[in-house]
Amino acid sequence: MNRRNIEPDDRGIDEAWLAFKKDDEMLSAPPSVRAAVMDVWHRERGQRNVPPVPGWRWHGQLMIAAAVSLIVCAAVFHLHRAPDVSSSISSPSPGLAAPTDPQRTESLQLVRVRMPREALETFGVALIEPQAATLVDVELVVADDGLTRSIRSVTAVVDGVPQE
Amino acid sequence: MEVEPTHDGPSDHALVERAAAGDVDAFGSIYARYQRVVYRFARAMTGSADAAADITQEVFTALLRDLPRYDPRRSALSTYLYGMARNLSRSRLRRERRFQSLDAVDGNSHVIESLADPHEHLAGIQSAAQMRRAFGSLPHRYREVIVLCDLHDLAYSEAAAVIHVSVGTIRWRLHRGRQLLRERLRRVQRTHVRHASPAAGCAI
Repeated sequence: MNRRNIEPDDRGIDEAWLAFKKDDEMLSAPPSVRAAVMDVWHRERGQRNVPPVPGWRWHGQLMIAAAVSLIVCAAVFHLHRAPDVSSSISSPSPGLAAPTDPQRTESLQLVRVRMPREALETFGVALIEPQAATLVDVELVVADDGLTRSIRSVTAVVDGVPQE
Repeated sequence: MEVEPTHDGPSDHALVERAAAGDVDAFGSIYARYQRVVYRFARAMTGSADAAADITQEVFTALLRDLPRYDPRRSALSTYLYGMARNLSRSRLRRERRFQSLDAVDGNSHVIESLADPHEHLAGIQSAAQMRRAFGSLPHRYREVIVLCDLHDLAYSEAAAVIHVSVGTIRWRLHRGRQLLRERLRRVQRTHVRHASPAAGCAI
C-alpha cells in the first residue's frame, strides 16, 4: 500500500504496512533451495549430455546389459541362499529381523497397544484433530533398544470396540 | 504488457538461451536474479517460509526442465516465473487450507539485532506481524494484486499480464483489496489489544 493511498487518520495502518514491506524486502530464499535446484540441474543435464546411440546399437546394448544383470542376480541369489538364514532372526515369531546389512541384523518385535489417540503425536504422526479424545489400537515395531522403528497400523476404538 | 525488469549484465533472453544450451553459470545467474522475487511472492501469498522455499524450488526446477521449450517471445521470463509461482501458491493454499502455518502461530520469538531502541524495534515487528495476519486473511484474488502492485511495485499492466486479467480488473481489485486490508488490520489490532498479555514481572 503506497503512502498516497493511505488516509491521514490511518497512520497506524501506514506504519504497519511500511514495517511489513521492510520485512518483506529483506526476504530471500534459503541457500538450501539453490543447492536443491542446482542438484536437479546437474542430475538432469548430466543425463541429457550422454551422446545419443543409434537405435540398433541401443537395443543391442540393452539386451547385453539385461543378460549381464540376469547372470549377476542368479550368482548373487545362489551365493546367498545359505541354509542358516533363520539364525539371523534372534527371536521367534512375532519377532522380525530386518537384515539391512548382512553383517548386522536387528531384532524387532511387533507390539500391540491401546492408547489415547493424541499419544500418536509422540511417535511423529501428524494429527488432523489432535483434541479428539478417542482411543486407538496401534501395532508398533519395536527394536531391542526399546525404540519404535515403525507403526504398522492404527485402528480407532469406539466404546471398547476396534473399528475396522 | 510484459514484466521486463532492468538488470545489469546480459539480458534474460541471452541467459535463457545459454542455459538452454547447457550453460550452468547462465542458469545460476537466472536463479540469482529472480529467486528473491519468486520467494517473496510465494511467502506473501502462502504466509509460510517453508511453503515459499518449496515453491521457489519447484518454480526453478520446472524452469530448467522447460528451458528447451521456453519461448521468450511469448512471455517475459519474469512473467513466466510469477505465473508459475502464482499457480503453485494457489494449489498449495487449496491443499493446505485446513492447516495453519507455523510461521503464523509462532509470531512471538524474534532476535533483536540492535539494542539502540528495542521498544521501537519490537513495535515494528509487532506491526509487521499484525499486517501479515491481516494480509493472510484476504481472499487470494486481492492478495495477489496487492503483492504485485504494492509490495513488488509492478505497474498495473504488468500485474495484468501475470494474472491474465484486464488493467481495469487490477485497478478494481487493488482498490477493494486495500479497503479490505484496512478493515482486517483494524480488526486484528482490536483483537490484539483485547488479548494483550500483562507485562512480565521483573525481579532484580
